[in-house]
Amino acid sequence: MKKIYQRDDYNTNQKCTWCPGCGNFAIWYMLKQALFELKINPHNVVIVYGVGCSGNGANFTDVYSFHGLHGRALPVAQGIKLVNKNLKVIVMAGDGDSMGIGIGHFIHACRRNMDITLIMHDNQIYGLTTGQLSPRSDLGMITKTSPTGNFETPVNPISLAISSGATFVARGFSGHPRPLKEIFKAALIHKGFSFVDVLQPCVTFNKLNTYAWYNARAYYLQDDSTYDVHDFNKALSVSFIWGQRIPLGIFYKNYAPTYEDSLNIDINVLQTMDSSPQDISEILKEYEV
Amino acid sequence: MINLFKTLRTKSIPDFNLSGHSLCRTILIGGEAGQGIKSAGLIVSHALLLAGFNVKLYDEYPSLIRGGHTDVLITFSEFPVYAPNSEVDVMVCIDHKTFINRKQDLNLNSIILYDENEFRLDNNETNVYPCEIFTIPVNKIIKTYKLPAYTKNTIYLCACLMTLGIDIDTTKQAITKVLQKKPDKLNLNIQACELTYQNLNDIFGIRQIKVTNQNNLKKKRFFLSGNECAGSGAIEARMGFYAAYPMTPASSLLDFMFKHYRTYNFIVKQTEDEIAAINMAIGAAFAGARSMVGTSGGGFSLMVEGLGLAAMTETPLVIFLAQRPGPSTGMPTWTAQSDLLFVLNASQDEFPRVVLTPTDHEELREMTFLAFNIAEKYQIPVFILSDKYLSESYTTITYQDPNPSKKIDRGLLLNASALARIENFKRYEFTNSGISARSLPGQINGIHLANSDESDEYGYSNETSEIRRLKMQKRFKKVENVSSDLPGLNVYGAHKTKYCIVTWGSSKGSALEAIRRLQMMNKYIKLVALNYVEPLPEKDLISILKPMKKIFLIENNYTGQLYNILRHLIDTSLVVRFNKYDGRPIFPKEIVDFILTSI
Repeated sequence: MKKIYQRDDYNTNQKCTWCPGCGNFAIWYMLKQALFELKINPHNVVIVYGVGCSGNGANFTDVYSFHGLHGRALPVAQGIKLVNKNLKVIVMAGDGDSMGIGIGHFIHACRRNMDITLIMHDNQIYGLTTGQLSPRSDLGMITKTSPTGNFETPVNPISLAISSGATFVARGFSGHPRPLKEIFKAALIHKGFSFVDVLQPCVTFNKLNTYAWYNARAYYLQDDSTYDVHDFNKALSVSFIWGQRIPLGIFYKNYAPTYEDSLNIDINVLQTMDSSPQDISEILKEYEV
Repeated sequence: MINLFKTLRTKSIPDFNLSGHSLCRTILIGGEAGQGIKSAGLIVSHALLLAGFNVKLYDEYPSLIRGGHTDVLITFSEFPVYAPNSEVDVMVCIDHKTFINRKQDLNLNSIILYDENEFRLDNNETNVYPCEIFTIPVNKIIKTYKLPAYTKNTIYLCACLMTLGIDIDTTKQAITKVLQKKPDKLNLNIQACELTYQNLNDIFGIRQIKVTNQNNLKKKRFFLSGNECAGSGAIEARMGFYAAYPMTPASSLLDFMFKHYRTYNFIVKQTEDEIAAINMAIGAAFAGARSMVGTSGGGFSLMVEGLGLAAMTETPLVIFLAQRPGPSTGMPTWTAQSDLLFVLNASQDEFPRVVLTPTDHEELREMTFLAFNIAEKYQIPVFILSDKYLSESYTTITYQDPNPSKKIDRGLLLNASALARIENFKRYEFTNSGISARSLPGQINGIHLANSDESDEYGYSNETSEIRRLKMQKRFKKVENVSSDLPGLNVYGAHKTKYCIVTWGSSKGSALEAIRRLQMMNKYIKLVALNYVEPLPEKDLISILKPMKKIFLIENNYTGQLYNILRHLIDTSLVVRFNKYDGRPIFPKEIVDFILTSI
């Protein structure tokens, strides 16, 4: 059976609940657009969501979706990918999810290099809990839980991803939707673990990292035609640029065997509905007296 | 031949043929951890198996790799062996600690084998325990024949088997069986065996242990551990995904899975932690694989949030939990039955689950198979509660080919043609049974959201009071008839008696051996051994326990966790409790003594 999908087939009938002007909108639109343009059909897509404003997006996109626990979206996605390699598996999770409670899973997902795309909704604040400090909050930032200004060094997701073994590392900005879509497409096409850090203003709770703040600083690495995305050391050094200027685009790309290809086990979940027990006499033979 | 045996103080060797009331005999081998004590125990076990006996092996070891002390307890009989016994007939003391730790388990007829050149038993010790003591010139044999030190255990175990009357061919066969994977060490161990038999022949003479029950030799028998049984059951059930973080006493199940995943085509993943393990398994189950995680109590503590996720998203999941004493790191390599209330109550809020408590090795295999059927049919989390004692002890089982009616039940899984007929698929549709059909990612027309938030029939987040009520009712309605898929109650022993032992899980074996011994003293006791606790088989329990004058509740924990579950069902004034909580399993003798004093 074949099914032809239209652009609107990627939408559910649910009402969107994000604040007007939220950076999540551009991520949502541009991901759907990227999937549609790449002709990746909704029934072959699984998006796994963490918990947060980004996680509430689980209700709005009409593909197979799993809204998991806070910080634990990546393991769910890996379980799905391991048993069905044919699916396009995407993770949508915030900076709290990925760099706070779930940072351990992030590092292991990078080094495992499964063919999964992680899109991090990076608003540098805890939005759904109404404005607490994030591991991505800039130094000095005043929030409900940093009344004297943040004095913990923010996590650097780009350098962490590159040094942990991710094979595609990029950064986009919600205020630049078209380039964001191109980054998504490149990440989705990439075979291996792809990580896209999306700078995404929280218009309600983050009064520091606004659209204007990012606009004044953002530039694209790919504007420099000599920038080589395969240069690990260069990518790593560029990943530390943050402040007066903020680099966007693809930092690093490389090819390495994926975990699932190295494991080389295909269990065909959609085909095997065998109802007879597995014969285990060969296993027992080893223990025979 | 060199005379090596002038130090041997031999009088007479007891006859170890089994007769009358001594149905079982027990060997204890003890030595320093890392010396290959367990391999020695396995060789002795295999020799006894080859001679026609049934064997149970239980080993106790510390949580370290070298140094420390390890014991292997081997109980054998021509008849079924229900539990390792604590009363030691032959004690092989490779180190002094073996004697010091276990001397209270010796009796007048026991014999002790040790080497004077290793350590000395002083007169104070030997006078208190006036059993037969043989010094085996292990170090002398090693020196004289220039054998490597690693053959020492072989000399000890050959001496042990000689005292029992096991012939050299059987012993050599057993050594070959256990060491076949270490071919570099096999030859010299065989040589050590031959030299031991030659040199000790004068002392032990040619003895032949008699096996009157030839039936055992005619049957196909297997000798394997509890975790190997659980793993076989999971593979038999066509498990597609197993995830775990190594943790004693479940680690050997992870090892087992890695041994077999290529042949039986399933995924096994060692994860960064237990949180990842359970979340990956949930993802794999959502995508259509029969999924299982394995851990112990500490690891399950980390999994608890994932347990609720499986319940909320109605994702089938099997959780294998091998208990060990806690809290915290506790006693990693020891045993307990102390996580029953934990798994029954784990997670915030309320949802149904099934808790299976297999009572022996065969049930461990059968119930692991069953767990997958229940998980998928009812779309719920199912626990298999084992413990260190059950998971890591070895037993003799006879395996019959599976009943042809034994089926894999994947529950309501829609195929492509069924989905093609559905418009507007509702993954969480409200149905009479509470169970709704599943679709799998990749299937056309089955797109849905599995949501950790409370959600409507499509999976979309919904917090209205109506949906919340209906979803709560749906989740609980699913399991109303789950008992129909569970086996009947395990009841053993005398019919006409007013005395009944109640136990659950691994303690059944010792209780069975205890009622066998009590029967020989003309004390007739019934035994109920629960192999599942949730749902609780209330009706059957009440009908069995109502006529009783006394109920002996036997558990390997401090507070009496099953007692606390049963107390509202039974007259508690009739209950006498036996609780053991020292990290060791309950032994038959302890139950016999307890019952004789409380009857």
